Amino acid sequence: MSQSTEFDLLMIGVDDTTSKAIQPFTSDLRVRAITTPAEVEELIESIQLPPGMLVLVSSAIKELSQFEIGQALSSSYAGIHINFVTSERSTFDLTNLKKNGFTDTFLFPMDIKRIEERIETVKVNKLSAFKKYKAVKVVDIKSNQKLPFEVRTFLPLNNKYVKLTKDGVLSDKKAETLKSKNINSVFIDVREVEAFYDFAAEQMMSLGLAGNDAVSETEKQEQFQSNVRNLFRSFLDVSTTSGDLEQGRDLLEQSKKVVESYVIKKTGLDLRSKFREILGTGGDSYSHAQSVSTIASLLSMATGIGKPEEVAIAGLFHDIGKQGVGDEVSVFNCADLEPEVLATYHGHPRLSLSILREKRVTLIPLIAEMIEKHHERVDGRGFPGKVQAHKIPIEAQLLSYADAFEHLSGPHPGMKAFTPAEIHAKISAEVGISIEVLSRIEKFVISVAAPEGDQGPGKAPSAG
Amino acid sequence: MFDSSIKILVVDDMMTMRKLVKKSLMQMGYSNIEEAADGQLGWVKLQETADVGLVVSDWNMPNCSGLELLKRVRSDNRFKELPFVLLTAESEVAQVREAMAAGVDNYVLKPFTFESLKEKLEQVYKKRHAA
Ligand SMILES: [Fe+2]
Ligand SMILES: [Fe+2]
Repeated sequence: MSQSTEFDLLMIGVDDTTSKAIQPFTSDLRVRAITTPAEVEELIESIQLPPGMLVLVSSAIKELSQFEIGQALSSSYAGIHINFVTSERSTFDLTNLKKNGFTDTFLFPMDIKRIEERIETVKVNKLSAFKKYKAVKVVDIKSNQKLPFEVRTFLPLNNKYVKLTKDGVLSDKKAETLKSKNINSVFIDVREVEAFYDFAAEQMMSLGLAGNDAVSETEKQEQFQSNVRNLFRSFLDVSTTSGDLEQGRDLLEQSKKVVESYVIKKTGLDLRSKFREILGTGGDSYSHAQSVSTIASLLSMATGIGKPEEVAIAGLFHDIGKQGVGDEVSVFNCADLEPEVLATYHGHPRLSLSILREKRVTLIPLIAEMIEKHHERVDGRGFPGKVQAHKIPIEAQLLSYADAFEHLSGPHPGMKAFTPAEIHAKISAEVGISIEVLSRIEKFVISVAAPEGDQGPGKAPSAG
Repeated sequence: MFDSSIKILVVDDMMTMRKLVKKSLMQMGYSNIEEAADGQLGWVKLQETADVGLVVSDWNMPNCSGLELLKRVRSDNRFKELPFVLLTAESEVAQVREAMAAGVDNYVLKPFTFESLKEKLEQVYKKRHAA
């Protein structure tokens, strides 16, 4: 149970002829071949195969029948795919193979196309569910300092991840390479990625604090803003990059997790568990809430409006009362609603508050006000209170902006994603936020669209 | 459930099956496990080690099948009350009646899962201790 798998494909007792037949499809996979009963024994006793692992079995181990291997594997590991492969028709006993736990059978040469497709699925899975490394944007990883994780870079030509750190320490030379090659994302082992999020959140906090560091306050501020921009950019990248969607999702997750860590460190409040406690495990509503929470928090860091941790909390709970209406409803499409549904929709900010009260979540008055007024407008045409501009705190307006931003930045089926400038223009025109707040946010949102190197004269392309 | 110090005899002609059963039992917290590769050897093991408290045996084995082992066990006064569980393939289910008549406590269908084995052992224990 202790060993982890360092292979993508497991072959047990596969004879030479069969091996050769499938070899063209396995060349860029890490294959583990097992050929003796002792190795099978070791496998069963001590190796944990992850669900989804592809296993090819044939009958080349004399002491062990394919049926026995099938039984043993299917009883030992849940959810793995045990495939029988052979070039010998005489061993192709379909009924008994299925009975003994095989999920599929392949007889060569006629099934060669099918096995190719099957092995292809491993390559796809490798990129998603079973991948070992997550892409993260480089944050202030200083050289010659012990990190609680190892950093890797990806070499596309060799299709390989190469470790940059040694025992968690990045040498000056490697740090220089990172910088000079303008590498923006690195890879962290999925088992260490939580430690990375924590580390990044701590870096953000220390950059936000005044202190007697060697670094000047201006530099710290620049570094801080650069980090915020980087994290914010993920919300745009995930829908706009034509490149690696999977990587985009990783980076978006990084943004959310870093902000989450930041809030936990500042307030001691685990937002995710609190949310689940209140709403159960509602998938979609959490995703909107978590994104709004993250966006609002980053906007607060960037503009100095409100406290990042407070707007994050408001963002998480703002729509808890919206359950009856449906998540897809927003200020951008509510005009089409039936009158009763519209009334329910208009009631949701206050319902959010009463649900929180019912669940005995105590909020400071400002957070409650942000939630209550996230749909109010400075022209007095908002809901639920139709309150006037001077009664809408700028923090509530920031939340309103983040909410709208989330609705507009997501992928829109069949539509080109909006650019930051387009999103900002749309929000300015339609959401009812004061000029003051809009102009403070505008600078930041537009700067996010520019490549990191263009931030100012004399500044090296940041590795942070 | 059975006390974790109980000695369990696992009888199966298939090495992988013995390892699997053993692994599952160890995950349940049992560490005192003996193995035998067929009914004949199982019978010898039983005589040698007087304190076996549970037998988990395969049905279909060369030399002496699980059913024969069960019959021998039940006909010996020393082992009359020894809890005995058979591992059977689907094709042998029809014969389970014969095993019931011979005094088997329960049977586990192969391929088995950790959960199914655990559940059956719990049933055996409960039945034994309800009476
Ligand atoms: Fe809302
Ligand atoms: Fe919302």
